[in-house]
Amino acid sequence: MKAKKIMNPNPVTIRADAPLHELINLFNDRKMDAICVVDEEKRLVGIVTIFELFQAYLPDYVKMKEELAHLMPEGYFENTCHKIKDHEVRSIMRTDIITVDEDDILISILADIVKYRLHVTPVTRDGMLIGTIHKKGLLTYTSHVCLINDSTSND
Amino acid sequence: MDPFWTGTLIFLLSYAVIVSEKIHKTKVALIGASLMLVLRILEQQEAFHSEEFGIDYNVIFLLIGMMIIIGIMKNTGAFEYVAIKSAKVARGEPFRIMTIFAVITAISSALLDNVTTVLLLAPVTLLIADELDIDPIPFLITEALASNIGGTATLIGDPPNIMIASKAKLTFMDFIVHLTPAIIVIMVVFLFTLKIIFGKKLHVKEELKMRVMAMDENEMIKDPVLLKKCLAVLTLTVLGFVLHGALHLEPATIALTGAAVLFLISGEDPHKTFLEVEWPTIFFFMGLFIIVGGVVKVGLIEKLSQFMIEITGPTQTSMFKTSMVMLWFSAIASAIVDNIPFVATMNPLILDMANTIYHNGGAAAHALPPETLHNAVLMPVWWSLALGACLGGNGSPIGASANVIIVGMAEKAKRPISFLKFMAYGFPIMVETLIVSMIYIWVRYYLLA
Repeated sequence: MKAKKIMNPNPVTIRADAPLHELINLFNDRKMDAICVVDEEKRLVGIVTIFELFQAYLPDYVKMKEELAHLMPEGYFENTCHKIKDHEVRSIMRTDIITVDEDDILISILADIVKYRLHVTPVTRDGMLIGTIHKKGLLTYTSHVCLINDSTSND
Repeated sequence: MDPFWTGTLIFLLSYAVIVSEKIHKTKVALIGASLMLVLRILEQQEAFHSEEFGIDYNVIFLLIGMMIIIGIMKNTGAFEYVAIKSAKVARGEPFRIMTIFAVITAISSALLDNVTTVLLLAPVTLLIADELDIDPIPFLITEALASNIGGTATLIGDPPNIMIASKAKLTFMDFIVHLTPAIIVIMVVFLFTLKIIFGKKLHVKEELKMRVMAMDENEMIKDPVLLKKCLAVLTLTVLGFVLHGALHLEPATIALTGAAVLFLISGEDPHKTFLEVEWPTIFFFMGLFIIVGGVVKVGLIEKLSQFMIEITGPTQTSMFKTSMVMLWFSAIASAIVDNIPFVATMNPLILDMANTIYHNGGAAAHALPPETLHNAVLMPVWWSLALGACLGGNGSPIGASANVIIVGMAEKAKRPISFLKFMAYGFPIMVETLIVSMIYIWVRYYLLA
């Protein structure tokens, strides 16, 4: 199986200049945990997952020493939510993106997903986003293959 | 090519590339060292086993031993505990916190190392500044400066002192007797200066101070048993340093023994702990020792020492001018470049100078008798080198590793400290501390001698 056969050709994307509250709504409404970030020409410029979002609420000193979070006041998270809700998605997105080619085979995509713990794998052609492979989509395909095998062996 | 010029060229090129920071200093030191060996300026036997030209394993193993102890200790949360506790003792008052943090940094840098101290204290500082809603930059710069001042106080506080102690055969107690009093005076002057600059500026509302008072420092201690073991070993190791002269044990032996005991009783995984050893620094030292060994062998250092004698005119009865030139020259050099290569070069230079003055160049410079090495006339030169090389680090953000770390962490926390901003604090403090050092050396070794 190749990437182009299992990818979602119409993925949900977000623009790099979109505010964070729009991203949060997308995550919520679409029940997703990772979204590709594109520019106006649909060129892939980054990826943002729920972890990048959550990380944005942590002060830098907690990233340096996580135990310091125990000393922070109770309302810090809520205050930060208000403070950064209009920040652009580009301020938190990852730009070190692992992409796959439309002709890459499934096992090599799986290898990347396992190695880099990817939530979403963008499929690109000349830097343009043409689809995405989500973990959940892959799981559906895996279960489909297993069921076929099971029914074949049962026969 | 003549070995003199080949060795000199390797030395100059290596130092020039290290200063340019175009290539990592460890790579440069190792290439320079390899060239010294491949071109037979120095034989491998000399590089590895000779006390005159080779790697100073006393420095290497003292550094490794301390890095292991600190590597295990830094994860216990003790530093963060002390920092939070003292911020509460200061009742959340910003200037008092700045002062107490400077003192903690200085003491910790004197007994452990500067980089670890600022690395652990900086995140707590950022948290407290955030809670007090004040600019963390003056606090961070103050900590970097205090760490370089404090590190100067002891044999183990800063690598230049470790190197000087090994070459001049000085003990931990020699440093306590001669340098610690100078550093106490310098710290008092430094804190007084902070008071003039920040004493009236740093004020926050009572409710913000209450946020600091509400912090529970006990949350920071993750493993109390490990902490107790670390403190016990650290205390015994420091005691070992205090007694190493009387016990006739080298400081490296004490540090390695402390590390080995802590390794055994802590139950830490050696693979994990050895990752805490800064191997690039260790190999940087090894490479440098070989490069400097090469130029000692070909006679460059002897020529430099003759030049030093000509311009500063040291005699068997007074080396005042040499001391003062050494103090300022070391400081300016250390503010601009790494003080480690500088001290690695100055050590054999002073030995050669002492050999010329006391033995007409007839003794082996690397094995001068203690009555020469610790001669009351020569001693201030060693102390001037230590004070200059360590305190000079405050002159610029690249002058010392602690400064580089602080600037890097501030940038990570999106509170960048520009080169000039650091210098606006660091350079005047460097000049001030050097003037105090100058007076200290003059009064103690010349006026009262």
